[in-house]
Amino acid sequence: MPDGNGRRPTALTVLIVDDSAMMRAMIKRIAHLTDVPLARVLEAANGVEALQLLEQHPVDVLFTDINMPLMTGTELLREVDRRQEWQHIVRVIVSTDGSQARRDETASLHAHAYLEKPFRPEVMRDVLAQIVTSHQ
Amino acid sequence: MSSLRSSPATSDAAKALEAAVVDVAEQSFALFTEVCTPPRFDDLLARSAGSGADWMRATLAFAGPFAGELTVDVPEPLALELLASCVGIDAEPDGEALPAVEDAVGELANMVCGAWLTRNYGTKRFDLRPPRVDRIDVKNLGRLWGSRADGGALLMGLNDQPVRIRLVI
Repeated sequence: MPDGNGRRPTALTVLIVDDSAMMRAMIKRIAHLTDVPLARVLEAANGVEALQLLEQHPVDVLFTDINMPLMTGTELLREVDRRQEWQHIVRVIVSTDGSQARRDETASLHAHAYLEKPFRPEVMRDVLAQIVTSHQ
Repeated sequence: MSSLRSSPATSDAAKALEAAVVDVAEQSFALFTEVCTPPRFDDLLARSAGSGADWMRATLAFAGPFAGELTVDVPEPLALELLASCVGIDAEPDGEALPAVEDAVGELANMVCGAWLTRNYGTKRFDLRPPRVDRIDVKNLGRLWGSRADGGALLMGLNDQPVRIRLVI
C-alpha cells in the first residue's frame, strides 16, 4: 500500500491481548486481510502475558480487551502509560463493554480508539489504516 | 432471581436482548438471524436433532449495580460455523492451532451480554466473568429446559439452527 509519494509504510508489529483465543484469531485475521503491512503479530491471553511480550519485543500497536483474568486491560494500559519506553505504542481498546462508565475509566489511558464489540471488520481496518498513516 | 421474561416490566430489556443477539450474530459472525415462535423453534430443533450432535452451553455471570447470568445454548454444528466465520475455514497461515470451538460459543455469549448491558445500562459499570462452556448431550436438553423451551428464554434461529438464550437477573 504505497502512499501518495510511492513510499511503502513501515511494517507494524501488533500485539493482540484477549483471553478469548477466538477473538485474537479474529483480530489477527482482519489485520491480515487489510492492506496494512504487518511485520509480526504477537498474542497474549491477559495483561501479565502482554507485559512479558512487551519487555521482549518492540511493539507498534497494542489491541487489548478489558475484562481478562490475572491482569485486566485497564491495568495493562496503566502500566504501559507508566513506562516511558512504551509511550510510542498506539493503544486500541477492543471490548464488549461500551458503557460510558468504562469509557470514562479508560479516557485518561491514552487509547487511540475504543472499539466496541461487535464491530464490522471494516471498522478495524479503518483504525489500522489511520494508525499506518499517523505512523509514517 | 427471575428470568428476564418473567417480569412484564422487563419487556424492553427482552427486546434489547433480541437486538443484541441480532447485532452480534450479523456483525461479528455474518449469520442470518430470526426470532422464533415456539413452533418455529421446535421445527429447527427437530431438524437439528436429526444430526444427533451435541449441544454447547455458555454460561456467563456479570456483576455491577445488579448481578445476573446469561446462558446460551447452541448445537455444535452452529458452534463450528461461529468459529469458521471468525477465523476462516482454512488453518492459520503460520500453522498455529485453531481456537477451540468452545471459545466461539463463549465469545458469542460474552458479546451478547456486553452488548445487552451497554444498550440497557450504558452509563453503569458492569464486570463480566469469563464464560464457562459445557457440552450437553442432545438427549438432556428436555431435562435442562423443562417442558417448554421458551420458558423464560429467548428462542432464535441463526443460519436456520436453533439457539436458546436465557438471561436471569
